[in-house]
Amino acid sequence: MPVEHGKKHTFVWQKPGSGRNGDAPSAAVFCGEILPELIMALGYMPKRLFPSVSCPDLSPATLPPFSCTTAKSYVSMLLQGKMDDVELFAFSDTCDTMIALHSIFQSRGKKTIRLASPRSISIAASRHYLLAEIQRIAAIPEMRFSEEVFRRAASLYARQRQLLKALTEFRDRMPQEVFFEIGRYTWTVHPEEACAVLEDLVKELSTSPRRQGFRVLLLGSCVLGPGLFQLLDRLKLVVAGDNMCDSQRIHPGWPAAHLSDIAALTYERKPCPCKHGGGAAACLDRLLASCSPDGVIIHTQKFCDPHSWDLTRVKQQLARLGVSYLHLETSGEVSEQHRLRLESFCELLEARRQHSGGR
Amino acid sequence: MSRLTSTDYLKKVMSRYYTGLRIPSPGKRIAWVTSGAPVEILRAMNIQVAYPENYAALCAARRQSQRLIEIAESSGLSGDLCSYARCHIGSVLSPNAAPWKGLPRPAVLICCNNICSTVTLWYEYLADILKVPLFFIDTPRVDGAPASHQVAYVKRQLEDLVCFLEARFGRRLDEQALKATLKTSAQTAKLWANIRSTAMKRPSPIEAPDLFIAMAPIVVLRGTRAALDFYQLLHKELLVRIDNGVGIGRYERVRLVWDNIAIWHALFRVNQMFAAHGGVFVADTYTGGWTFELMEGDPLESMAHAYLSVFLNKGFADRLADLEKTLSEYGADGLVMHANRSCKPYSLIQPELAREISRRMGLPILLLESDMADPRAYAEEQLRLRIEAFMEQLGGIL
Repeated sequence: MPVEHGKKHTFVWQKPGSGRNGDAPSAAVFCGEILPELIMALGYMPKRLFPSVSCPDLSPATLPPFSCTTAKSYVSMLLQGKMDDVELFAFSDTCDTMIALHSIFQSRGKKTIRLASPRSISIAASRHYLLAEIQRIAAIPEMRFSEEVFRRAASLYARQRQLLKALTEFRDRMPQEVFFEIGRYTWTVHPEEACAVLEDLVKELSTSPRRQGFRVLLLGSCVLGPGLFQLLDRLKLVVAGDNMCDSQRIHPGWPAAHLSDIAALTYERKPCPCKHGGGAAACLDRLLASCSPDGVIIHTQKFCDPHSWDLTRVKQQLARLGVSYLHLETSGEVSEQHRLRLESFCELLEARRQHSGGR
Repeated sequence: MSRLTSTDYLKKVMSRYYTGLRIPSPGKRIAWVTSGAPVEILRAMNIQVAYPENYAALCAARRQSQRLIEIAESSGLSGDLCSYARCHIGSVLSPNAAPWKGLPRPAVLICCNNICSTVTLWYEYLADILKVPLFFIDTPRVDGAPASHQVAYVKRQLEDLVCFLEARFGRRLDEQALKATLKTSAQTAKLWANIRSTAMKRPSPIEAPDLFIAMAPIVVLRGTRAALDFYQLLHKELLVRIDNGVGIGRYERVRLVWDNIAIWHALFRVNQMFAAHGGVFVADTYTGGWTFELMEGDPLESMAHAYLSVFLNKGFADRLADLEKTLSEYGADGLVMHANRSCKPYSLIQPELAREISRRMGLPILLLESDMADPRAYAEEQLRLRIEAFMEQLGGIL
């Protein structure tokens, strides 16, 4: 059962040695914009770092209270020594908070690399710049960049992304909590291990029936734990697709043969709201067309500026298209209040369905 | 407290600037720009520039920001977003509720993200509601000196900006005019740096609230004769004060440095809370943001270099070094950090900066949480208690 795959792995930090490339020192990757094949080619085992609900908040002395919960979670994990086994921390300049996090980790004596990525993705100059920036990282003297490892890693991660894409096609056949956990698990282990799990799952799900319920599209900031997905499962809301920071905003599934391909891959991601000129509106149109949702749930995390700004644009676009939506603002996890709002949203979708004659 | 007489001239300069923006004239075109935008190009092309950030600060200083902020929030903007943005957007949505009925409508928007990421989203929002073209200048964050590929990237965008403006306004950029504007800009920035440096003297002839007020021309009139004239006058006045051993007119018991943007709606009230205990803010980190140097040589390359090197676009090590240097050069006895809810790039690393400064210099540090333009985030009594405790602590040390 797919559920078992989800239950037997947890999304919290995997200690070195749990993956097949356990000998390589660990590198924590903070944002999906950084391609793990680049990190692997630098001689590290890349593991995407996700915020955790299980870590007490130790951030007040290190971050102001108006920081997002994701940042607080990362800093708390750092202060609690939960990442002492990590040798390299890889950041990307997406939002101001991510830039501040890089400063904090650097100030605490951690070894870091920072991709000063372009914020503008609508001009040709930014592609040249991004390539130069990636080449700068590859040429950092203490890194051991290897073309050969890069090509091998690129092939593995391309396979992983293709499988994740296939799994996404079957997302409406599995509990969302499992999808959430699988999503996190696959980015914290070696791609060979991830691919093996994903292959099993995709095979199993290909013969499974679709789950019944209202189909929803999820947009917005990342969540800290599986609470939102558990709630969606309980209310029989079926997630047909997403564009969230920590989920399906990944690179397309074709392998990079050269460093220049990384720049190209980056530009084919679903646009992050931190980027200018990424065609966010067109991307949402495509998502709506491919998922045919009954409604859209927009999640924003308190103090997450990019998604809070994006919210107004998304709401306007959905209103223009006549798509029902619900905005949930959380501190990373859902509460009773969010359950009530989701129940009301289900009632609204039901009323709409009845009004349209059950279609 | 002795008043700076050049303030009268400043009022005239700023009044002329804002009035000038409103006077219609044939072929007049206005661009709304961010405070860190390479405005010299626009000035050389005789394009008028207006600054939404400065406008929001003015609204806050006049205590007229809250109403505008609430208008923006009622339209759906989150109350956690930058208060400059919310205040300005409120003025766009309801000009009748805004001082001078808001800024005159722009023909183009020019956004440069060297000060924060928020401006990108703010200007995208403006472009959408105003249906006005937006030109975005992306300045990747630098550690130390900008790398050559970063300078090349920004220079390329500046070349594109010139093409964009030429096509939009039907005017050619005159290279001599650009060079002349840059020269004025560089002279003004240098003069502004010298003005700030006068506060290293004891007693200091100027304090941070004066600098916050006097910074307006370096932001909105950079590259103009009016700004240069004002700063020459102010500098002269400060030198006379130094020659005569005159300070700001009250006892300078404790020398302080302010970090972050001012609390515009309570600028003098907050200052008074420190002054009551003999505290004088001899320096701040914010007004130093416009003391950048423009190099000789290719104008666009020089601008790319300068605008990449804006302090908010720099990494932690640079920020720490700058702060340490300021504290040391100005002989500071303490540091006050405004944890500004509206400015994440400034505020998020303040606790870490404080930790390092405390470790290296052993200075007392006070962190005050408030907001630059949203008075609802200002709790006066709470602030007063914290300030009193801090000043008592300093009294015990000195």
